[in-house]
Amino acid sequence: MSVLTTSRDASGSRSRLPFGPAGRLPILPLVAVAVVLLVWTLAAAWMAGTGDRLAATKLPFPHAILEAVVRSPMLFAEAFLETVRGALIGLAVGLTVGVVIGFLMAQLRWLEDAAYPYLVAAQMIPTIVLAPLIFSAVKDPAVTKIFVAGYISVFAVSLGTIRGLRSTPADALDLMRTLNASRREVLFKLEIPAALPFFFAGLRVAAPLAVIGEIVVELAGSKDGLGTLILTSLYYGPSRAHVFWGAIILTLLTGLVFSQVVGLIERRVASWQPDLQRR
Amino acid sequence: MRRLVGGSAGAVMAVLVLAACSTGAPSETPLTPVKLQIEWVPQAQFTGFYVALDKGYYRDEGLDVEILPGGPEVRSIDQVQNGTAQFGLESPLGLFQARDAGVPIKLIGQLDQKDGFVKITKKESGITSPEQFRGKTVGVWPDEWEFYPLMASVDIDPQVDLTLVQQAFTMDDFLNGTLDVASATMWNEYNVVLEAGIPEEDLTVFNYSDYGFGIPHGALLTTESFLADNREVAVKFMRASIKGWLDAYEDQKGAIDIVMKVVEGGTEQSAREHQELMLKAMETLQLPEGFVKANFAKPDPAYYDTAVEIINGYLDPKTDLVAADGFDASIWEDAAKE
Repeated sequence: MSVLTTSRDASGSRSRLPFGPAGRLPILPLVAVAVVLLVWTLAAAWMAGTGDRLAATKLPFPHAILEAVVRSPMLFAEAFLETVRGALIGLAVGLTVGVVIGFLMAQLRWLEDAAYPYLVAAQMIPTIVLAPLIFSAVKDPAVTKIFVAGYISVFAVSLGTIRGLRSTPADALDLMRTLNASRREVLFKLEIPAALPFFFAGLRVAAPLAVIGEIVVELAGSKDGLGTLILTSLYYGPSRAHVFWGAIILTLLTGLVFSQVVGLIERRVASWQPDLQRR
Repeated sequence: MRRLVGGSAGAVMAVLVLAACSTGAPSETPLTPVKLQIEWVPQAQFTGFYVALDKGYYRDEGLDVEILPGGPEVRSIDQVQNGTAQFGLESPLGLFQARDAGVPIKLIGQLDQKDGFVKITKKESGITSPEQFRGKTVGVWPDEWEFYPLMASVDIDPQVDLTLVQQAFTMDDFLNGTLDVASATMWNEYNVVLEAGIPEEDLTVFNYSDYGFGIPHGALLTTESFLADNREVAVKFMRASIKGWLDAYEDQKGAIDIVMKVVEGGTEQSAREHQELMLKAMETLQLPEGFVKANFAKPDPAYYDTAVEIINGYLDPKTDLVAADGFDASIWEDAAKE
């Protein structure tokens, strides 16, 4: 059990608005989506009306995109699964390495002072440059994808971990000391739970970034994946415009799903957080 | 007594094991793993290789072939040089320039017999000859070495006398009018433009060959060291590949069925039609009119003499290149004899 206390929202009860907690229909988001689709369709109709040969590439109809996806479900499913697979493995690697780096840097001040600038600087390498560099060193496209996705996620996770491990409330720490808690008990019962919010914040950033990293590598030339689908549909011209947009939208959704899944895990693992209680 | 029995039992065992081996009990010689780096994404441009793979021609030659997909950041010559792939596809102009830079690669086969890279423009632009590229917005690809000699031959400096644009792999800039003159391949971009609704009559096509700068693409290459140690493998690979390609042209429908399994294109009819057109275009380049089928993929020294002339004359090599050093036709010869 965590030493940190839970707290209830001032009103002490659930929200009364129509976009309530699980069990109620989320009306507002649905309305928002409907409005977006409507405006989009009208804009696409205007674009088509201009007679531009590239109208479908620039501003396609949403229903035409859906049609293209439904017509070739296996194409999109395989591409999606390949991208998810690579991004997940990359994220897992980046997560592990990030936590280790973060943990070490949080425990050893001198390491943090020495390594922090390099950590920040290493993030600055543009992914588009990184992918071919790694590929020529590693020579295996699958490993390159995992490495690049992992590389991108390491930073957000390690920074979140450092911050988190340093955020232990001083009075809780004093309490533990008064109770003669061992180092191990302090770590597992106080420091790690206290670090979780920051850790999850970092992970929530890293997860969609891992997807982007995966896509960038695929765009450079790969066998499967959403990035490859984007590449080929651009290459085969305006007749493939809806496949292109389908792949783009699927990419957005993948990033969103990754982010949401991290949020769900956070809810399970660190549900005691005050702002997870309010809704 | 015991030792004698033990010893003879052992001898009997040994004989039985040896007998089993030689009577061909299920023991397979392992296939030699070989990787081919294709120049671009898996598509009908590489049909013959996929047919050879699918129909087991490589396996029949004792090879376990993997075809590595290409893309914007994948360079065949780099992949072959760093050992990721044993064979690659590239243009001879690129190959000789790489040799000039010290990369020890050799050309062992010549898939295309005509240059499929062209420049296209809309008739309404009024451009009817390369001299008229002057002052226009012209797209060029990174591996389109033919362009610079062509411009030099009509006294145009592409950096100064026209607006040179590094063309991406889409035709959008040509379709929306940003580019007056665009690069295209006869197997893809030309069809993309037609599929986008521009009728053939509205286009002017400039073939590099018409101006003496056409060098066929699709050169099959490998490293000198691989060739020195594995010449037989190269011959087998060549033999099976030729078989795959000729098979593909014989039964184009079946060949495209195989290609559609690797194309990232979906199962729509339009995607398939595009690939069928691509294979037909490859046929006009690889088996042009009057070309003897038995010579499929034969390296022709005349191409490499011209390629080296072009490079020595227009592309500023470090040293004077010698064509004969860059290719080895004997592998093809061995592969082509039945």
